[in-house]
Amino acid sequence: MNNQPGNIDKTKINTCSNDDMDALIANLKTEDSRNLNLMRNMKWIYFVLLFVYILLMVVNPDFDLIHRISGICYVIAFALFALIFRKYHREYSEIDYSLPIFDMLTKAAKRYKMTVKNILIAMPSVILIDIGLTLSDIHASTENQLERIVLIQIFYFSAMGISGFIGYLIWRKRQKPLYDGAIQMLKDLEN
Amino acid sequence: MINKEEHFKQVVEQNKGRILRICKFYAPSEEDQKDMYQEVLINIWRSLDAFKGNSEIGTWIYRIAVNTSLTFAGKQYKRMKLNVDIETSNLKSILDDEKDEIAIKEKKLQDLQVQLNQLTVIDKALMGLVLEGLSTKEIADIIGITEPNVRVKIHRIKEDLRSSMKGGNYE
Repeated sequence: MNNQPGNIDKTKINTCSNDDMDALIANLKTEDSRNLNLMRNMKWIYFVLLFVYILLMVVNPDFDLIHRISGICYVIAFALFALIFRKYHREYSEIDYSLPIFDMLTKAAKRYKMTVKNILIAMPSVILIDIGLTLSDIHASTENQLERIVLIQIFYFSAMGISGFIGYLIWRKRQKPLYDGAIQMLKDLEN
Repeated sequence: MINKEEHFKQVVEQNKGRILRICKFYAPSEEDQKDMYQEVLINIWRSLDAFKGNSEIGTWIYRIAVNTSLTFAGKQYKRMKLNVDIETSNLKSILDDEKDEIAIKEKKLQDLQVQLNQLTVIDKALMGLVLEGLSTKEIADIIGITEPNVRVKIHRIKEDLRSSMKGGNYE
C-alpha cells in the first residue's frame, strides 16, 4: 500500500500557490468561454443550415413534389438530431457536484443507464432520413422500384444496426461500469 | 459585489484545509491527491454560480469534495482507499468506546487502515466525514439521507471495526 501511516509529507501536496491559482482560474475561464462559444457556434451553424435548406426548398425552381418531401424529411431529421445533441451535451456538461451524494448518484445512474427511451428518441430522425433517402433514390429511377426500396432498407438499416451495435459496445466499455458503480453505491446507502 | 474570481479565491482559501484533508483521505498517492485537489477546485468553480447560500458553505464544499472523490476514481472506484495516519484528527471517534484505551500505536493504526479499506466505498465516504468531526446532521445533509439512517450506519461500521480490531494481536 502506498500510504503508510505517518509517511505522508503534507508540504509536498500542491496547495495551489497564488500563481497556480491564477493559472487555474485563467484556464477555467478559458474553458468556460470555449464551451459557451462551442454551443453558441453549433446553434448558429444548425440555424443557418436549417435556414439555407428551407430557403432552397422555397426558391428551388424544381417543383418536383417528391424531391421537396425528401428535402423536408432531411431538414426535420437534422433539426431533431440537433435537439438531441443539445440535450445530451447539456446533461453531460452540467453535472452538479454540489448535490447531496445520494442525489448525485441517482442522477449519475440515470445518466449512464442505457434505456429503450435513449434509442427511441433517435428513431424519428432515423426513419425520416430513410424516407428521404428512399424517395430521392426511387424517384431518380423508374425501374424495379420495389426492389430498390427493399435494397435501400436492407443497406440503410444494416448500417444503422452496425452503428447501434458499436454504440452499445462503447457504452458497455465506458459507461456501464459507471452505471454499475452508482447503483452499487446507492444500494449501500439505502441498506 | 465581488466577482466570481474573487469569490472563488475566497471560498478556496477559507476551505483549503477541508479540501486537502478529503483529498488526502481518498486519493491513494500524492500525485492522485494533487490531481483530485485540482478536480475539486474545478468543480467548485463550475458550481459556484449555482450556490444560493441555502446550505452552509462547509456542507457545500464537503459535498463537492466527496462527490469528486467518488467520481475521480471512475471505473476504479472500488479501489478508493481511506487513508489515515497518526496525525488524523478525530481518529478516536471511530473507536469511541470510552472503556477502550485509546493510545493508538503504529501497529494498531496499520490494522485500522486495513480494516477501513475493507469498507464499501460509501462506508469509506461516511467514515471520512466522521474523521472530519462533523455531526450526524451535517453528514446527513452532505450524504442526502436521514439523520437516523446516518447514525445507524456509523454505529454499525464502528461495531464492525471494533470487532475486527479485537481479533488482532494487540487485544
